[in-house]
Amino acid sequence: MDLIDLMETTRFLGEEFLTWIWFRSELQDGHFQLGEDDRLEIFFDDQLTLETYRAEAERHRLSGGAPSFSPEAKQALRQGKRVTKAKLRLGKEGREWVVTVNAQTLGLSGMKIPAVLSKQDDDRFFERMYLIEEAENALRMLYRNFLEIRLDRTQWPAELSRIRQWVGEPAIELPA
Amino acid sequence: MGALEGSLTYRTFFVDGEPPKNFRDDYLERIKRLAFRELSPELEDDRSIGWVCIEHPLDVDFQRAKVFFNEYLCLGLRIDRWSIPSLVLKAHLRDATQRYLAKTGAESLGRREKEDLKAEVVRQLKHRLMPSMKVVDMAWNLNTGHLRFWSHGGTLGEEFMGVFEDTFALRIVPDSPYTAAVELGLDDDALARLAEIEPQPFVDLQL
Repeated sequence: MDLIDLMETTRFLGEEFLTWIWFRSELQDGHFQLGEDDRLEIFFDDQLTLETYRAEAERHRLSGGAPSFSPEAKQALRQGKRVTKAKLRLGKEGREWVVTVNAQTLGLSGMKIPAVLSKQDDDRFFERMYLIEEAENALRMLYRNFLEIRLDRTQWPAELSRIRQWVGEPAIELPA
Repeated sequence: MGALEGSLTYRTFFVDGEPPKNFRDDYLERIKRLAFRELSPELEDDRSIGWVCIEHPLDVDFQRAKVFFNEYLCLGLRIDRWSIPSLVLKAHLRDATQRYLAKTGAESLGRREKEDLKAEVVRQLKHRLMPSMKVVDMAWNLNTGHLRFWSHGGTLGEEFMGVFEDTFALRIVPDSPYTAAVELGLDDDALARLAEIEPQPFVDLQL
């Protein structure tokens, strides 16, 4: 398979990734461990889109309030829909980013970064890029964590079972 | 716009390969070759695309300090287009046709005459209009090979890839669940597994 084919046939992983973040975020109270001393908080913000796999016509766009906690969102999951776009609120070391992630492309839009403090134009640019890359790196590390589970023949079936249980019965306990 | 200020909506690309040694002056020359060129009413081109300095869309005087910001290579991709509203064109074409018929005494225009008259009307209107201008920022981190392009547009993204590759002779691939996984440095076994896995439903469809 060439690169283009591989990119097209694995786009579903972005949807699985966002849905997995939702699952983990809800069950871990938003706390994620990225590395030994690197922690990240993620909460779903006020925009969430769910679609049936490869059937864009069946789309649920939820906005306002906390859609990930709404009965409609969970119902959409129960109907087999997956997260195709989500606005996420990331917290790291007391700072906060807000960003919308497109599952198909992993494209980021409408990112809000912590306040840029530098006054000089060049310094402002470097600070801005540093903050963008910090958020991107956190999401990429999280994607790595997801892939480690997703590609593992033992871990994934167990995780999938927990996700299915969560979709059906929201209140479950993760194993320690 | 976006790298220096404004909305942070962008698409990431991964640059395949590294710049050659002492690339900065070479890259400036390459950028100049594909610098933005202004549209002219006298030329037939309806669209122009090319690089501009990121801090000013009218500046094509590329110098190191305007292009290289420490480890970043930053440019704007400017796209200008003549955009004549169809109603305006139709009205002026109608006027011009009537004048032409009155002047020549002909009853109607032939196909060739229609085309020539339209081209002349368009040329005259271009003198009275400004082309529309769009500038999209690009910031390439030369250390990581990650490149951000401040647009999500699919067609524009493909065009950007072409202009970038023509300029720097390096291939770029857009971010995606697959390319992001490759970029994470997964080992061969993991990449092979990635290529074979199938989407799995998050609900038990047998229920």
